[in-house]
Order: sequence, then structure tokens, then C-alpha cells
Amino acid sequence: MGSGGSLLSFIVRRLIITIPLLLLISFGVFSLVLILPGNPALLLAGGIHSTPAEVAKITVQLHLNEPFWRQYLRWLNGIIHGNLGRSLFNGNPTVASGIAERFPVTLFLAIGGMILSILIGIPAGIIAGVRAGSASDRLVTVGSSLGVAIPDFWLALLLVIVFAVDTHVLPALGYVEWGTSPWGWFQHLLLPWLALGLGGSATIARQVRGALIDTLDQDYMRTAVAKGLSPRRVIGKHALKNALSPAVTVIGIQFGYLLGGTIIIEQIFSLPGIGEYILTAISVKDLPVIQGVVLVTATAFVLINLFVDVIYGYLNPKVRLG
Amino acid sequence: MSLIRPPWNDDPLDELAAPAAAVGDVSEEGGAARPRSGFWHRFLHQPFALGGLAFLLLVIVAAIFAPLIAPYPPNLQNLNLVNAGPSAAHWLGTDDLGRDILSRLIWGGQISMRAAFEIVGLATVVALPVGLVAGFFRGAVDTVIMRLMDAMFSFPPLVLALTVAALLGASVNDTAIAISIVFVPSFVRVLRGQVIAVREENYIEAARSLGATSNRLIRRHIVPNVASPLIIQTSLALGFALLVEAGLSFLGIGEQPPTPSWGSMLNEGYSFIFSSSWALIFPGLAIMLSVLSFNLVADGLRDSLGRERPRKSKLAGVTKEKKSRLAQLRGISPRAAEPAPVAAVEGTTLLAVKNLRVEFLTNGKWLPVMEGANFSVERGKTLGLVGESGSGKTVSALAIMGLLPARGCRTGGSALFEGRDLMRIAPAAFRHLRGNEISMIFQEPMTSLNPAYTVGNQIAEQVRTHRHLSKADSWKVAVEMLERVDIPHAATRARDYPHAFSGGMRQRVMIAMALSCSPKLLIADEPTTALDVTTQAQIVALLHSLQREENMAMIFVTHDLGVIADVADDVAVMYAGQIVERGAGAALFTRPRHPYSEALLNSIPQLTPPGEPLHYIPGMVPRPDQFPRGCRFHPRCSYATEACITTPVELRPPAHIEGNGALSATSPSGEGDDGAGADHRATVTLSRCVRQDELTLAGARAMADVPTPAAPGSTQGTPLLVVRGLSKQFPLRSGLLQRVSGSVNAVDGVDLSIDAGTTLGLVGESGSGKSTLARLVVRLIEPTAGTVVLDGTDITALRGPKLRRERQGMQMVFQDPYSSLDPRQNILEIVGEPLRIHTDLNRAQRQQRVIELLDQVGIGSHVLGRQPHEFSGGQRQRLAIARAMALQPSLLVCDEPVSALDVSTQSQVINLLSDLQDRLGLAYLFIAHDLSVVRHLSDRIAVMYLGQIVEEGDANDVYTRPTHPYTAALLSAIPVPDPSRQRARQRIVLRGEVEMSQSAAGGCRFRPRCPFAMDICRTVDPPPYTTPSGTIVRCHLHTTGPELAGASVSGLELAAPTE
Repeated sequence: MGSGGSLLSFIVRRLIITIPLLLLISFGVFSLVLILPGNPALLLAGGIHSTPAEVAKITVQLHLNEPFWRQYLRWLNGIIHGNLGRSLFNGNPTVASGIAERFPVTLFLAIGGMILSILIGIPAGIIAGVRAGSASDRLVTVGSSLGVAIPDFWLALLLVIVFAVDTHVLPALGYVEWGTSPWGWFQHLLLPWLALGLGGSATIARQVRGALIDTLDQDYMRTAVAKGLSPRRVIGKHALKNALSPAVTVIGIQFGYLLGGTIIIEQIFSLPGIGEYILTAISVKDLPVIQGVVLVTATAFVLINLFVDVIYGYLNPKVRLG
Repeated sequence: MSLIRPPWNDDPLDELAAPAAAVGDVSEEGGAARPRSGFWHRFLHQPFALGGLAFLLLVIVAAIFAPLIAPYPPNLQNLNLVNAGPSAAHWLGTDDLGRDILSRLIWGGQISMRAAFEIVGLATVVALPVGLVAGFFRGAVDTVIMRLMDAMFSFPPLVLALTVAALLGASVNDTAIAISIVFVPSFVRVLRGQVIAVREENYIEAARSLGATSNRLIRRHIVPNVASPLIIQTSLALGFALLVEAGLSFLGIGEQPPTPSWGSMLNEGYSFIFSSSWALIFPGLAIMLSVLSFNLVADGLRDSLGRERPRKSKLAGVTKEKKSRLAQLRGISPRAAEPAPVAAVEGTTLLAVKNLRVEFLTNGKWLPVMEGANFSVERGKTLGLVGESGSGKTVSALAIMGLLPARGCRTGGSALFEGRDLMRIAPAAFRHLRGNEISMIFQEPMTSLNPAYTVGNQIAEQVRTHRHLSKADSWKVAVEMLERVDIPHAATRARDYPHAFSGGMRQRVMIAMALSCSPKLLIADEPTTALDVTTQAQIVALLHSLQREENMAMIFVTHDLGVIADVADDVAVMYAGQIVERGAGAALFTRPRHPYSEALLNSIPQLTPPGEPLHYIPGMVPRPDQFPRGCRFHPRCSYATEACITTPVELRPPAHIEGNGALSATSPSGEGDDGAGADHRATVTLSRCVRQDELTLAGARAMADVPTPAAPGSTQGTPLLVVRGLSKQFPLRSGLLQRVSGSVNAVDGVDLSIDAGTTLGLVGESGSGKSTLARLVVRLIEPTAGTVVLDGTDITALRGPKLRRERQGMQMVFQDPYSSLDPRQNILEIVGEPLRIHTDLNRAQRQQRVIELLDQVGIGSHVLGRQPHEFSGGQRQRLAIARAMALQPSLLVCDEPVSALDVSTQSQVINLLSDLQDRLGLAYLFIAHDLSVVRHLSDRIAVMYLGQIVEEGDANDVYTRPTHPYTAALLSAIPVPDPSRQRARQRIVLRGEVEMSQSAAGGCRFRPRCPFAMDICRTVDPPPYTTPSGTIVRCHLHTTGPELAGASVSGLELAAPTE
């Protein structure tokens, strides 16, 4: 049988799977051009009001006169060299620079929201799971049921109303660079973080609670007690590692929702992230920008999940064999 | 291969599990038909789910009838009344354009709900076929589909929906299409997972072997069984779809005003956020409550669907209470934490249990599962606790160890361990004893070790806790312990996780852990029940030798009297929460004093000569709420009289001993015993039987070892099944890319033949390839080579309709009766399925035939409308047999049909099979790992090892004069229910396990474990040799070496171990 499945070979296997996945994603992103109704060049140039010269210019810029496969390979080649193409508007800045400028804001927002949801969700889930049936469990259960159901943008609106419109405790709009004022940065991001993180924490809490209750019912927990371990060790060591591994997967998936959610949240709080970038691009059908942003967010999501998988593999030795 | 949980306690509370849902076993047929608590019954008892459903219905009905219900048109502006609060005219006030908010909400519900249903509907329509195809056909199709789904899943959902929606255009239908794309991958994943899980169930294999087409399998079996999770998923998805749609309309993508959706109402309100926040409240609330309702309904569905198939049926109340093990984990117990009274340490007695009482809270009532148990354990000695499931033995063991759940369970009495009462000891002091002075090992080695830590870590942890050693030192102890329990390469294996060990090896690890602090008492709860006989023999021998080395006392809990004969000095027989007989181990086997003990001894299959029906105890152990008055055993007792029915019986010594006053000091009267019977233990047996003085009960009967003459006529018949050179290779994958790096010969060139109307028994350890062979024979899996000829027709190459037609001639009965019947069908559908497939009988005719079939297996026709979950394991196995008989096959392949059953039920099923054979002339291929069961039923026996038949011959010859060392080892691993004989006989305890020898390329595959291995065995694969009596054996002993030339290998002196 051998020892089977070291963590390292598991990570390498995961990396190997990730490469074709990213290729598939890039192909999907590029195929977005196919779902544009009618002649894409005409549409992108502004529809029936566009001049033939504009249409021709776009056809050339996007190589729309070439076969689809050639277009894709050319685009892919560009991406590998860090070139995401150029915007069709506003003096044609490169998409890469547009994203580089805005992505940090989005990433701060998403990661902060994620951290917040973990910080709230895991302890709440543990408290509820360990004391299943108690008053604190009921509180967490009710709270998380509401938290899962509440639309994050509505929560954002309520937060704006309470903290910014009615009481002026926190700024409602805008963004301050970390370099300019760390405190200002924090203040401007706090409400967005809350809006994003509370919903996520509800999902995580439910997952942790359920997994913990299942784990406490396992035979090996009885073994742990029979060994004469202290309650703290029984739960802290033997239950948690097993109970948290399914939660980790949920956290990975949750990150995808967070990344998507940032688009609306950025809109509400007027944060200069990629949400604003893609919404503007969508309104004018700036295809290269749309493709670039979708590709970058999907890649970020894949990489985060790769990281999550590695943690999962650490927590759950069995999956390393898979 | 599915892991079978035998019905006897895999859990402390399962001791209670005379299946609550079962109708009572066949012999007690006609148990009261209880009202069927169906889905609606359960769903309607969930207030939250009902509330959610009511809210959704309200919203949906209001939305549908919006033109009639809404007080105003959605866009009627009243600029004189903007941003107004609630009033009689406008219940929820007005927005910034003076429009009525309530009316807009009702109209908005139309848009939002319609969108949600469209999104989920579209996603389901796409995902359903894709998921079914991927899960059902697997292979390349599955791989391609799943990679695509992975890619789709890699887009953050909202980003994907937003982009696609924006590029497609902006009407509600296009938005729905865009958003449904987000749902497809997760739907496909869930569905595929469910399909794969269902596909593994035996009832799918059963339907295939009945000749069902793929189409029928999917329609009749897979879809109904994956429907529940799909419905739950749908409900959750509706809520999520509502959220995504609201998000997109909030961003202004999708349906645009003037028709309001809840999301776009929020969008409008947002532009006026600094002037009035009123309009923002209600649309958000509407979304939140709707999503919440969808989730609540989903939770309710989850709790009400799919519960019809409890694998482990438990008393409902107990299960509920069991949910919180926390208090137990904290060592808090409902017992008063008084200081333990210091009592004098009594001589050699290590543990004295007095008046032990355990009660479980069931449906609001405290029911006793163990009452007034008294027993003691002497230092260095072993006490055996025996009884059927539900007798209270495991519960007693757990009570001593303080491991019963704190909630819903209470204990009484005392358990003095070296003067400390374990029933009253403080939690911290108990922790110091547990794992240190008292250790416990459990029945399920597969689940009793923590999967997240290496075995070395888990052992070292215990050592560190109690011995306060450094990390390095405790690790050293862990490795030493692993060496002591004979785990090869202990130092490296210590770094492995439990999943890398086989069941037997895990039990060794458990033993190593339990003994790591040299405890004075080891409680072993059915430690070998889940293991192969050969492994059981190894584990028992190991425990024996460790016990001697450590002078450790043991409490050995088991249902297997054979094992008890092997290990126990003293025995307590338990029945229905009482000790019914207690005394020295040897006495129990020679002269039992309670009819229950006698009945248990009699139901051991090896004690019944072949050809006679097996003995069994009718009925089942009663549930705690149904304990009879008087003697609790009387309803099942063949000696019961009037007196037994009315008066409770006490545990007492025989009258002549009780009368002579010799014991007056220790057992005056009343309970009649004090548990500390050190000095009279060897002489006096206590019994809870009124008639113990008048009855002379039979002990273990003379062993039926004497060769019985071969059954006349069984030698020449017409071969019904002829198998030649049958092989099956499974690819082995390894390395980074999981490339095929080799193959395992699961079945390797097997030749077999079965005559019409006879039984071939097939035995071997798990991993020997028996089940694979069975599936090859009935063509459930494709052979790599070889032929299967049934009744003159070569069915190896048959495909499609021809194969399905030929399947009528042979049917299969599976091991796990819990998974071989489709839980969504009723008995008429299940037993009638083969008739539907192969005959044109109409409904009435089918029903008539099903009733006949049920009658043949001893089940009444009143069960036609019931579902499998209402039956006990033994009954389900009967139903499976009835289904297999429907097409009047000539051959029945039985794959371990009784292994998952209790001993008594097992005997009944075997009697049924042999009865059917006599009446209908069926032939059986009967697979089991228990040689004594196989011998009982078989005309011929084939012994399988690593894919090969190593010995095949007349059943009596093989059983009494084994010619292959492996057969001899299997035989000697069967514990003999007679302590004196058991200790006297020469045993071949096999080393190692089946998998370990797989590396042996070339030569005899049994060589690495063979006690007689010679040089030639290393290099030359032994050819088949036919002995004078007609047995075919593959072993060099008969041709080279000692040249046994067909004589039994049992007589051979065991040479000194060669390696």
C-alpha cells in the first residue's frame, strides 16, 4: 500500500490540473464574442450609427476578419505575455493597466470581506455546533438563516442609511489610498467589508455547525474520550480538524460569490475597483475590457481555490490520494 | 465493495435496535400494521418549513392575481403624496414619485418570482440530462462533462451572469438564460454525485441482473432515487436565483422600469437614498423573506425526504437525545459527583459491578436497558459478556467506561475499580483512569481512529497525556507498541494515516493505543465482529498473549460464543437487559443452566450436522418498552411454563448449593449474588431460570467432525453452470498522473462447474475475489478472459436483448439487504419487477404471482403495499430471494447472503434456502466467509485465494480433511464453542493479510503466509492435482516435499517457522 499521498505530490497534482482548467477558462472568456448578436464589429463600433471607417478600424484591431481559432490563439499569446489588449474607447489605454490600477481595490475589498466572514463564521459555527440545542445555538441558527437570505447590496444600503446618512459615523462613499491615510482607507472599507462579509459568515457558520455536529457523533470522538483526554483537547484537536475541512471548501466557493458581489458593493460605495470598470465597459460594449476583467477574476478565483484545496488536503489526508 | 455494518451493535444505542421500523421477524409475522408516516406527515410537522411555504404561496398567489389584488396600478404616480408613510390608503406608504409601495411590491413579485422559476427551470432542463449521463455512463463522457463544469464553475457567479446578460441584451428572458448558466454546473455536480451514489447500490445491480435495460434503470430506479436531493437543491436554488436576479436588476441589467421588479425598486430607491430611505425597506424585506422561505422549505424537505431508509434503525427518541455528545465529551454526567467512597481493595477483584442500571429516555419515558447487573472482574482474568443484539452488553461496557451519552441516559448502581466507584467519580479523576488504567477498544476499527492524524500521533498523544513524556519519547513508545501488536515496519507505518490500514491492522492499532499505558483493565467491545475469521483468530491470539504479558484483566463483549470459549474465564450471559446466567466459562459450554444459553449454543451452525435444519431462536430480543412480564425470555423459550409468564425470576445458584448454606456469607438471598465471587466462581453458576433445578440442558453438542457419507447421487449430475478460465483484471493507477501502471488479477483463470439442483460453496477471506467472481458469473461485469456456459448456452459473448433474455436463468442475492431493494418502490413493484420485464402478465396476474412468491419465502401477502424500510434485515433478504425466484431461475448466485444478519436470522435464511432447493431443484453458488455455514448448505466447496481456486472438492472432504494449507488455516480460525477442545487443538494462525502477499509474483500465491512453504513454492505456481477422493488442489505438498498425495494437510506436523 505504501504511505500514499504526500502533501507535496498532492499539490503538484493539483497544479497540473489547474493549467488545462485555466486554458479552458480563457477559451470560454474569448468565446464571449460569439454570443454578441449580429456582426460584432458593427455592434462594437456603436451599431447602425457607426461609420464604415470605425467598423473597419475595430475589425482590424480585434482581428475579426481572421478565423476564430486564429483570433483566439493570437489573444492567448498576448495574455501569456501580459497583454490583454486595448480598450475600444477613451484613447485606447491597455486593458492590463486598467485592471492593474483597479484590481487592488477589489482584492482588498474581497479579501477583507472574506477575513471578516471567516472571523465571524467559524467561531459562531463552533459555538453553535458544540452546544447544539442551546440558546446560543438557536441564536446562531436564526442569525445565519437570515444572513444567508439577506441580499448583500440591500445590507449595504441599510448600512449606508444607518451609519452614513442618519448618523454620519462613517463615510458613505469614496475611497482613500492606504498610502494617503491608512485610517481613512480602513474607514472607507469598513462598511463595504461588513456588507460583503456578514452574508458569507452566515454560510460559513451553518457549514461549520453542521460539520461539527456530525463530527462529534463519530466513533473516533468516543475513542478520544476513552483515551482520557481533556474536553478541550477532545474538541480542539480531534473534532475541529475534521469539522473544518468541509468548511474550507465552502470558504473557497464563497470567495467566488464575494468577488462577484464586489461589483455591486463597489457601485454602492463608489469604490474605484474593477466593478466600476466592467460596468462601464458593459454599458458601451467594450469587449476587450470585459474579456480582460472576466479572465482576471476567474483566474483569481481559480488560484484562491487552488490554495483552498491545498489547505483541504492538509486537513484531510484521505483526499491526497484522489 | 460496500462496508457492511452488521446489525448487532455498531453503536452503543444500537443495542436497543430491535429495529424500531421493522415489522418483527418472520416468525412473528403479522406484527401490527402501524400507520405509515409518509412525507407529508413529516413535512407538516415542521412549523418553520410550513411558515416558509405559506409565505411563498401568499407572494406567488398575490403576484399571479396582481391585477385583482393590488390596490393601485404599479406606475400610478401621485406627486402630491411622495415618500409618505403608511396610511389607510397606502398600507406601506408611497415612494419618491408617489406610487403605492404595496402595489409595486405585488407587481414586482410577478417579475422577480417568474424570473427565479425561469432561471431554475432552465438550469434543471439543461443539467438533468447532462448530470444523468455523466453519472450513469461515467468514463470519457463523464470526464469531458466534468472538466467543462469545472471551467464554468471557475467564474465568479455574478460576474458570469452579468457579462452574459449584458452581452445578450436586456429582456427578462435573456437575463434568465444568462443567470441559469450560473446554476448549471452546480446542478450537474449535485445530480452526478447522487447518480453515482445510487448507481453503487445493490438494487441497481439487482435490476440489471434481472435484465432491466439502461433506460428502465434510469427511469425506474435512478431518477426516483435522486429526485429528493434534486428537489431540495431546487428549492435552495430558487432562493439564490432570486438574489442574483435582484442584484442584476439593481445594477440596471435585465428588465428595466417601468415594470418594477424588487431589484429595480431598490435601484430607484437608491437614487433617493439621501432624501428618503423609506422606499428601500420593503423590496429588500420582500427579497429576504422570500429567500429565507425557500431555504426553510428546503430544510424542511431535507428533513422529510429520504428518511425512509434508516440504515441503523434506532429508537427515535434516543437518536434525538444523542445529538449532543458534548456533555459526554466533557466528562460531565448526570451522576452525582460525590467523592468516591474508599472501600477496601478486595483481594484479587479488580472491578466489582453492583446493581448496574442503565436507562434511556425514549419518547419521554425512562426505559431500562440494563437492570441490576452484578459481576466482577478478577485481576489478569477475562470476563465474557455474551448475548444477541439488544441484550444490553455493550451498554453495560460503555456505562463502566463512562462513555454513555450524558443526555437522555442515566445510570445507577456502582462499579468499584480498586476501591473507586466509577459511577460517582469526579470527571477529572475519571479522565486520569481512562486510557491509563482502564482502556477500551471498539467494534468498528474502520471508524474508531481519527482520520485526520497519523496513527503514531494518536498513540503518542495518549502516552503523553498520562505519562508526561516528551514528544520524542512518547513517539518511541508509540512505535514500540505498534511493534508489539505485530505491525510490520512499525517505525514507518506510525507515520501513516488510518485510511492506509486494513480493518485488521486498524484493530491492531487500536489495541496498541489501548495498551500503551499498560492498563489494568481492557474493555473489548466486539473487537473482532467486523473482521474476517482469520483476522479474528489473529486478534484474539494477540490479545491473549498481551494479556498474559501484562497480567491485564479484560471484559470481552461479543455475540459469538465461539470467541467466548477462546478467551473467557468467566461468562455473563445477557438477555433483554438482565444477566440470565453467570458462571465459569467452561461450565457454560458443558452444562448451561439457562435455556437462553442453551439456545445460543444450539444456534451455532457448526454444531448442527449437514442436512439437518439449523437451530434458531424464534423471534427477536424485545425492545426495552416491550419487555415481557415474568421471565423475559419466556416468549422464545421452549421450556416455558405458566410460572414463567407471570413472576419475575431472580438470578440465583442451584437449589442444592443455595440450600447448604455454604455461600450464606456472600449471597444470602434476594439478588442472590454480590458480584465478588472470587472463591466460588469456579464452582457455582447462577441462573435466572425458575426451572433451573429440574431441567438438564445440553451443552455444546459433540462436534459433527465425523465425516458423514457423501450424499448419494450428488456426484453425477448434469452440469448446469460451467465456468472455464474465467479472469478479471482491474487496472492499477499510480503516480502523478494516475496512469495505469499495472493490473490486479481479481479473478485469475477460475474453472468451476455446478450440477443442477446442487450447491457449490465458495469461501475465502475478504479480498480473495469471491464477489468479483459472482458478478462475472451473472455477467454484471465483463470478464477479461474465459467463458461462462449456463445450461448449454455460452453467455460470455452475449450482449443486449439476448443477454437480458438469458439472465432469466440465473439470479443473484446480494450481501447487504439494506441496499438491494429500491427504497422508493413497494414490495409488489420490487418482487414483481422481473415479471414486468420479461412477461406480459397483467397487473392482477402479476400480483397473484408475487403473492405466491412471498408465500414461498414465508412472508404474508398483506405486505404488498409496504416499502423496504418497514422490514428487518432477515425479511429483506427473504424479499430479495422472492424477487430472484420470480422467473424460476435454475441457478441462484448468493453473495454472502447471511453475513449481515444476526446468528438466529442467519439460520432461518439458510433453512429457507435449503428448503427451496429441496422443493424446486435450484442450484446455488453460495458465497460466504464462514466455512461452517458454507459446509452446512453445500454439496461441494471451493476455496478461493487471491483470485484462484486453491481447493475444490466434496463438502465433507474439504471440511474434515482439508488438503490445502489455506483451507486448513481457514478451518482452524473458526473458533470452536468448547473451551477444552479449543485449547487442545493445533491451530494454524495465518500471518499477515491477503493484500500483503500480492507482491509474490510467480510461484504459489499463498506462499508468503504458508506455514509449510518450501523452496519450490517460490518459483513454481502449483498445478492442479486431483486427489483420490476427487478433490482438486493447488499445492506442492501433494506432489513434492512430503508428498501427501491427497491426504489431509491437518495431520502434517507444523515445521519450525521457515522465516
